[in-house]
Amino acid sequence: MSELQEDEPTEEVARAVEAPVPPQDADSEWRGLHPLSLVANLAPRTWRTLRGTWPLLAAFAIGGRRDSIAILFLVALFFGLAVWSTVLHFLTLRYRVVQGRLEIRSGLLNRQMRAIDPSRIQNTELVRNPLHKLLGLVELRVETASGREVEGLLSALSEEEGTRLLGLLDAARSTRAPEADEDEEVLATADLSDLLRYGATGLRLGAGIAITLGLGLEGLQFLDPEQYEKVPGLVGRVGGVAAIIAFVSGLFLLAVFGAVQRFWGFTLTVFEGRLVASQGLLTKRRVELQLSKVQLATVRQPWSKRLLQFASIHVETAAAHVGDGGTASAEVMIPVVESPDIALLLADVIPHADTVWDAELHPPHPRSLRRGVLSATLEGLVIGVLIGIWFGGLAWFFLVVAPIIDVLLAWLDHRHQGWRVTEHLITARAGYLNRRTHVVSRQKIQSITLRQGPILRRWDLAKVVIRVAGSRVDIPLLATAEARHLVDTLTPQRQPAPVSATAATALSPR
Amino acid sequence: MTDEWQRLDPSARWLFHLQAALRWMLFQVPFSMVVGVGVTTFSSVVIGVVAGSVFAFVQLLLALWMPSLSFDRWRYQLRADDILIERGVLLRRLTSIPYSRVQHVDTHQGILEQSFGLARVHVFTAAGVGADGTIPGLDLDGAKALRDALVERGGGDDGL
Repeated sequence: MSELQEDEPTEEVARAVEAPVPPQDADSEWRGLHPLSLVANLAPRTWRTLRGTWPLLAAFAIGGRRDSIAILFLVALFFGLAVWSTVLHFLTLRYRVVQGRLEIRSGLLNRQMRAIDPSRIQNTELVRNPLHKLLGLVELRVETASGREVEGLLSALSEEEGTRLLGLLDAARSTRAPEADEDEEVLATADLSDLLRYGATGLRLGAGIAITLGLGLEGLQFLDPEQYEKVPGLVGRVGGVAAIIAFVSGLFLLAVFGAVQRFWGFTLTVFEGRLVASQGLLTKRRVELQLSKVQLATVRQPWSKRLLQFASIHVETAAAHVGDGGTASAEVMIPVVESPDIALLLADVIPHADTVWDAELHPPHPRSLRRGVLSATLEGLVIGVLIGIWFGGLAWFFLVVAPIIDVLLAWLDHRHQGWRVTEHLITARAGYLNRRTHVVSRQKIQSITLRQGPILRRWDLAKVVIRVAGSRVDIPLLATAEARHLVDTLTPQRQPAPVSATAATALSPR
Repeated sequence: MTDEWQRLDPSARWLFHLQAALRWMLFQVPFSMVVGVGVTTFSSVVIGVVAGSVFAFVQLLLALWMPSLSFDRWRYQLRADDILIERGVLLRRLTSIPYSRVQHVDTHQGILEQSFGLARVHVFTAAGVGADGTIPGLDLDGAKALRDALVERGGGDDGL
């Protein structure tokens, strides 16, 4: 992808932007957004304006008359800017596809021209939120590996235009010719029962219970002590149990609704070397990414999912970006994969991945348990002290209990860690309560780093961090010599060779 | 550029010392004063002054000691397929960056580096938002040669 950005337009750029269309290329005509984009874009911008000016609006609600006029003027000014930027965006944004390359230009004073080469596209996404559906529009997102944003964003196109554009880009970036009899193969689906299981086992459920109970206890502190004492009597034992059941049920329903809204009608297919995921209830999404662009697959198996014998699989490309709610690095998430099917599905996403999933992993170095126990003890002591200070009295008992629980979990974690390097792949597994297994192709390695702090040096241990585009994989702690051997062996250009946990002898010259 | 460990330019040791001294004067001394004032609010002025002074003195010792250690630990090696960079005093790091993964290479000269005739090289891959490998304290010609060598050896499949 290349960018041209300048503060003031020049004649050369203007000529380049307005360059005559080659007659043989029917798709090279500049096109604009759908006129209804004014509505589709103004609505979210208005919401953002209201959200950003809420202190002013609050001041308007409680302020005097003289202040109110000034505040109204300010809010109107911000709203006017939102309208202006929406209109400007509609009037100046133009796009076209020339020989498979997506070109987008925009801006009036600060003009920008962006060209996205088809070979650089990591994934494309068609999004239809409720407003889009109402207006018959779609949003097209084109992502490359060059940053933390959506590089090609066409926020409001007609459905036909969105599909046409997606088809042009897909045809241009396809690395192989489609086989005549190739059919779309369905790799995974999720029905309502799957989504119920996925929602019920979401880790947010536990966090939600903890946070809400904490807030509830804090809220009770504000009650008058006499009323506080009356609460159990008013509610009664049965009422208390009913309230807890209703509360947990509410959180459960919330988690399930979130899962249903996100993954309703989930279908994952593979076609012409592309992975296609369709999903969503209110906001529909269709994500397409080339299998050759997959950087990392992560199998997520927290204890609750293991109990119900399924896992979730995240598939990532290099196009990690920052979304509204944080970094959205997983381009495709398969919510429910039955345990016996994990190897098969992994192999569909990353070649040869089934061999490492079924293979026995090398354990971490035995001395790494010391590090785990040390960290867990310190963490447990801190938690114990905090609980003791907060609740006082018998809660100081946690000063003993918390470290014991933490050390037990560290021991379980250590027992379930593992790693393996094969001819093609690297696998690393960690976590007992929240177990994750990463699978990455050796050909995707961007850099390898060995890390050693003072304590690890004393115990002759080291940590190896493997970076791929957009993500990283941490190998469990190894002996220093073994870790250095990994650094020397994993460089992609070398002839790939299996690495055993005990064959680490070669050291780089020092 | 051989397959051996390369060290930084000897004058980089003094650059590191100067940078550490400036950091101490501009940031750590004011921070020590803040620490002293903070301690004073919980105890007496004398204890606050002593605490701030001790804090500043410890920082000064570190500023005098760490740059040499850092200089001694920082080295790099151009191998057949990758560049190895080793650095760090307390937290030691050894990074391997395959040539084919290098997206671009920067040479950078700050004001202090210019006065010493030195430059630093940043090696970028597609792995992150920052530089994956940094080698400071190279003489300007050496930095340019290293940059050119990395660019020449790059190309091919970048793993994306």
